[in-house]
Amino acid sequence: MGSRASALVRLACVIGALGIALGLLHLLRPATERKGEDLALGAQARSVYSADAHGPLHCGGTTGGDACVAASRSRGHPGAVLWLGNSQVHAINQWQAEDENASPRVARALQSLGTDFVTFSIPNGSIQEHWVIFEWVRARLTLKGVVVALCYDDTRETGLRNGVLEALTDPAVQGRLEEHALGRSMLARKPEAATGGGELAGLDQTVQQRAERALVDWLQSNWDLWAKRHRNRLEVYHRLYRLRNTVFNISPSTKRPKIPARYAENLAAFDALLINAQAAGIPVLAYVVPIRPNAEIPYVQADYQQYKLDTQRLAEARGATWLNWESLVPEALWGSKGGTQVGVKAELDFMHFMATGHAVLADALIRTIRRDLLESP
Amino acid sequence: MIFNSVTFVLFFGLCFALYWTLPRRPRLWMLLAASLTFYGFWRVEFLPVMLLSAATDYGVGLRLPRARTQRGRALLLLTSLTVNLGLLAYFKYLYFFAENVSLLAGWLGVNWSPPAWEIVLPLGISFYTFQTISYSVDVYRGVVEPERDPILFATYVTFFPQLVAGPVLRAGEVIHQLKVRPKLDLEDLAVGVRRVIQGLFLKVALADNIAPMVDSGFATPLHLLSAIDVWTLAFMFGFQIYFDFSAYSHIAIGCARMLGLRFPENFDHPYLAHSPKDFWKRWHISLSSWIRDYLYLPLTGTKVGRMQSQGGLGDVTQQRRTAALFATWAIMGLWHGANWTFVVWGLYHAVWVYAHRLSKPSLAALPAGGRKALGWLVSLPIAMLGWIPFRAGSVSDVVTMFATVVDPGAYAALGLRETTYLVAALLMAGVCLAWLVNTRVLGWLRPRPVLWPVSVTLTMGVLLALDFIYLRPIAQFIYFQF
Repeated sequence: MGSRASALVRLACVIGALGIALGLLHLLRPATERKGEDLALGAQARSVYSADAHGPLHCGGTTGGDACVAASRSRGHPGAVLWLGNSQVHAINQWQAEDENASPRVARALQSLGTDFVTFSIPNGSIQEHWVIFEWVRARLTLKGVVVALCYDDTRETGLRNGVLEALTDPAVQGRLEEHALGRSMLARKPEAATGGGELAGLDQTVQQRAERALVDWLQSNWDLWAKRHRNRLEVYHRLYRLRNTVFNISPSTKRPKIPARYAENLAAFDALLINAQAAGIPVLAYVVPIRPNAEIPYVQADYQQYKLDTQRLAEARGATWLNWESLVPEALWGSKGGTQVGVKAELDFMHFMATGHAVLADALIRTIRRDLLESP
Repeated sequence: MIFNSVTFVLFFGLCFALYWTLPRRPRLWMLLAASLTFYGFWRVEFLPVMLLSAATDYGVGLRLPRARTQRGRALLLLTSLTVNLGLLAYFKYLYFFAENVSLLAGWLGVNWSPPAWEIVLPLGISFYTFQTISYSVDVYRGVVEPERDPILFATYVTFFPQLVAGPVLRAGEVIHQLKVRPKLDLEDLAVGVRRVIQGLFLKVALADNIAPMVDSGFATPLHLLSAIDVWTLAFMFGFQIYFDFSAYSHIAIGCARMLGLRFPENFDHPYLAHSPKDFWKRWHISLSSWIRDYLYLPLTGTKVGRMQSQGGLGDVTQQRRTAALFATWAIMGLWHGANWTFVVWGLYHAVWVYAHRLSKPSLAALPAGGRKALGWLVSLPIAMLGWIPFRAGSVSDVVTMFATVVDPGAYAALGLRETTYLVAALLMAGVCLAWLVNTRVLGWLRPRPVLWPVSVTLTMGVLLALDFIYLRPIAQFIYFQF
């Protein structure tokens, strides 16, 4: 091929490659701006974090949690009850406009009794993360009680995600964690806790960090394609997730085996939370989360039963209230979720119920919090 | 400066434009200024350390031919070794040494703790000191002529594409290229761009996404890891470090190629190796050849001269060869990091090489194809398991994990997320597929005037999209810590 023809072919290849890249970037983007966790929830469910005139009642992790703390202080109540949970707490299945989850309902009821109610919930939140959030919040607010949602599924999780990791830089949290072997291990594993990780973690303490931050901020503000990269990453992950589920026929009904190492760590975290709460005179209510009745649960039964026994044993040994609410929400109040396999439109949702289900949960919480946290000696 | 960043993309774009518009001499000045800027974007205060190493060996190189006696020549070489190894000893090993003295003192009943020094390891020091040492040794051996131009020499030492994590360049490979003014060649440009895109993909799309799974796995309490978990983590880290390190080399070689410079290859499908010798001809090739020529062969007493001896160990006794083998690998391990785990890693490889030497006569009876296939099946798990000491936090962790692997009862359970095993299997399949494509498919495609550009366009388009999506400096390259 002559040199001119060769140059033209190369130019065509460059243009072609750029075109393919641009096409892929548009293809790999969700139609609407949705949070990563909402993609995992499916089209029918929506995360709802409520607020009132003082500010948010409900936050995700500790990153951004200052708003919840400030709002609670602003309400002027002498203390607050903290609710820690996973996506079941913030997600509403078959969401409609004006739907509320349990958090604002309980908040209104307790505020009428002179106690604030603050919720922190993160998707697939492990008890390790709940523990860190508990220590972070109680360093900032007077807690009259803690409610911990115990989800067997989340004992398969470990580590602290970015929304919680930053809390490890708080000396008060560090001090509390250091009192326990698990806490020391968590602190030792997180050298990036000093910076909280993040997109520029590789440039920490270098001259380039400032230059990179300035360039990235400029691109973020001036180039739409760049600003939407997080959505591309989300879509890549989501498609790989669905492909994996399709190839291996994994669905919400698939039995999730116990991961012994992680299970042990999460139970140790629960125990540490209970010990610290007891030492501080903060009563704890721990409940086994509602799961969809009349459907085979996606857990190995023996492991699930053992989990309930283990958490009950720990709770009662530390003077906490333990309740089994797995059958609390009736079947009719649960919904479906978007399919997690390619070509599957809808699947049963074992974890997230409709707004009416949240009302049932809220009523149970209000009754139990009053009886076991606020009115008990 | 880190490759996987917007800053570097802009920086290199500017360098590229200036390089091809400036005449030869200003171009050299520009390269040097760019290299110093590149390094200074990390920490400006460590520039003098690098320049000290360069200046020492520049001076040693000039004086060596003028030395009248062998003693004089030896003293000059000793100066180079003292300065460079002294820098390494201070910045990299001082605290390690002090900690071990403290430990030893404790065993002897003496209570002494090292001071709380805050010694920051200069980026790339292990690489550029080896590079400058190799220059002085090559001048001493008569392999290369001393370079008189200080700017050219400084550019060779500090040249930014390979400064921080290699390839470790010999003077004879690079200096003559810097002297001439290459012409802008479209083939060089095309190959260079492809290498950079491939390298970025390996780093930002693969290595950085594998890292959290590896970190999570190694953070698991060891008594809760099964043997399958240890194997899986060994493979996962083996892939992570391969993608991470080869990515750096791809980008370095690609950038150099875009500037008309040819760097030697640093990786050649190491996980398809069929013996330890084969593995070290495929993994970090520039370092293993450096260690062979500047450490191992001299330790065996072999004279390494102008022809860069490739063999000729016939006069060396087995005992001396074995002693040199183990000493070399212990040093090679320590080069990677100031921790006994790296020494364990080095000795692990020494044992592997030694065992292979002993088994060679038995294997000779097998047909060549069968020997290679069996060799691969044995070498792959050994190579991967060798990454455990490289990644583990302490020697006791290494012992625990190795003990788990040899315990038949430890194969019964699984302790990691299911996705981890799946990803490990997919990556292994991917590595084999990449080898197949590179060795069988590309050769078939290249002569085809339509299929070749179409397949290159498709591949580069997909990789470019993924590079764009994932370009974030969320983690340094692993070899930055060396």
